[in-house]
Amino acid sequence: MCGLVKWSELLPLLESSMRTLSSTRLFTVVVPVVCGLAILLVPTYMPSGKRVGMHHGSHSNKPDPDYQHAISLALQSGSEQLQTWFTLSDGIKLQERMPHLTHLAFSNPWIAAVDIGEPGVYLFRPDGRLEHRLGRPGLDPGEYVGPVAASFGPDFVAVADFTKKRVSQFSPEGGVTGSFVYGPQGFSAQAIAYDRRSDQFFLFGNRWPQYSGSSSTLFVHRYSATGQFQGSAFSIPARAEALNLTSDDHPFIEVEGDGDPVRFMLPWQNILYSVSAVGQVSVVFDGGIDEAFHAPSSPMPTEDGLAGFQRWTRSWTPVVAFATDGDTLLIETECLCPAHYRLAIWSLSEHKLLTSLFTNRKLVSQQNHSFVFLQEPENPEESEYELIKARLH
Amino acid sequence: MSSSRRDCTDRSWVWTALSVVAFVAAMWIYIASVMGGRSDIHLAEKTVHLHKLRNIAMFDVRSSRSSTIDLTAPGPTLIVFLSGADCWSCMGEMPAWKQLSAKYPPSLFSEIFIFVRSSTNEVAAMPNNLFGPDARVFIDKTGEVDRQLDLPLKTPLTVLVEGATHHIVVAEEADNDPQSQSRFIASVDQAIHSRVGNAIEALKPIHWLGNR
Repeated sequence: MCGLVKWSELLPLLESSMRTLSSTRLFTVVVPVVCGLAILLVPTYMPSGKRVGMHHGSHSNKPDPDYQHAISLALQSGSEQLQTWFTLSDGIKLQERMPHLTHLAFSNPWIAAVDIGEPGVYLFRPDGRLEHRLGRPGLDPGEYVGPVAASFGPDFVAVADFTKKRVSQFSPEGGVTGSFVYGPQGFSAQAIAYDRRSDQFFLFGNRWPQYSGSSSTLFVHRYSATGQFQGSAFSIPARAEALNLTSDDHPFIEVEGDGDPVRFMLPWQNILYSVSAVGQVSVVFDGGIDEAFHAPSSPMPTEDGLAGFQRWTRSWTPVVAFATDGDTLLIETECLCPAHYRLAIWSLSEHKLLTSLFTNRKLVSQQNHSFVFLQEPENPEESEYELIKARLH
Repeated sequence: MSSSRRDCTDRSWVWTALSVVAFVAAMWIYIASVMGGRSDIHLAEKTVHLHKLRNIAMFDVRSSRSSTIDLTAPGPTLIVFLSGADCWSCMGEMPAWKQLSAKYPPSLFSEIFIFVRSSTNEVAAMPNNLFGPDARVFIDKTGEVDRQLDLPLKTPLTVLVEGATHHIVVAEEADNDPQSQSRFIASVDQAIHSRVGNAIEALKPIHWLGNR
């Protein structure tokens, strides 16, 4: 764990900040999981806000009392070490209010942003100006209720809807060019990747055995370009299932580059996977030698709602992002230190940890040999996101 | 004098005719509303105007043509309104509907599946063999079914309609609970059997002879 020995001496003083720091996984963990809990486990709400059919569970979405304070504290006290390894560019502000930004996708020159809070998908120009809003909230093809992720194809942006279990495709001009549904396969997509090599989609999300009739929890699902289901693969490891981690399975994926395979990581493993064109999943990199990474050791709580979840997340260091550029692999995790994240820089060929540093900036992607970081708004209500490109020295 | 009496008589005839027309119109409106009301689905929070269904042209998947739905079948008809995007929850019931179509002869029981809020591509991507061989499958390409019937936001909406009278026998809103689904399937099966059970008994010797 980052700086654990050093900080342990100051533990009594830092206890409250450390508690709340780990409560700030807003972008990558809290939002998807809370949305998942809200949509799946607790009452199901329709877009109109009318409740349908299901009973209230024991979950509460009330956050930890120190939640907002924690975000502010982390941003103020965070140490910024990116400059020691990277040359940073001026920030690009995304000029649209997005209360709950859940995913960013890049394809030169476009930037697609997905907001599940006030459902919206936005296409930005490289300078951050809004080009189009893609689709709209609704129930028909080309509309969405719970958009969670986007992926670029050669001439379209595909958007996965967690709630309606549909993938809608839009042209850069904003028109609807196609759609398909994945609900019959019995899962909810947390991420989507269009693979240009094989002209097919990969959707990521664990299967609900009660609907699929399957006894295993499969995670990677393959669809043709027209939306025909091809197959599912990659069982969630038994230990992860035992710890109830199937409810915290938001994957981080990388699909950049025409010749690169689709790669993904899970929050609770320091392992990079690759998916072949026929859906075979293999390990590309195992960061088990990184002693600063801590996997969860206790089951994810199903009671106590969001506050309980936040208390549980203090016990481990989830992966929140990764990106590769040639031989360089960046893995970002949350840490129990006065910064949001710890960034580990690896050499893939040497399987060696080159260095690690701390930052408040969220790693998003790699574009043209530059890594893209996101500066999250200090006050979430401001909804002002800024992208910063960083090139390794 | 005689001409004014004739005018008076003529006027009476007109009034009588108008009264008859008004009475017939009122009766027609009353009967239509009663019959229409009986074939509407009264859900907890809204009414689905099922009686409007017969006037709406839809894309018939099996014939690849536009057609309206014929609800004049002598036996009960199961109508399922579903959306491809919601069908993760409908998958639990679909095998049961397929079993029912195999259990009862098509002359006594029919099934109609109507996809709303779905593209042709989305329907085509549904699993093979989802429906029985005699089931009719439609796509509401224009959105008229959704609009005119005022369907609930979440599907499937499943309804069993009496063939001759178009009365609603049982109806169910979308429900993800497997136990509720099982209870509803059992109630549909029971309702069909109570209506066509005797006819099936009568058909048995014919089937037996046919099998020989």
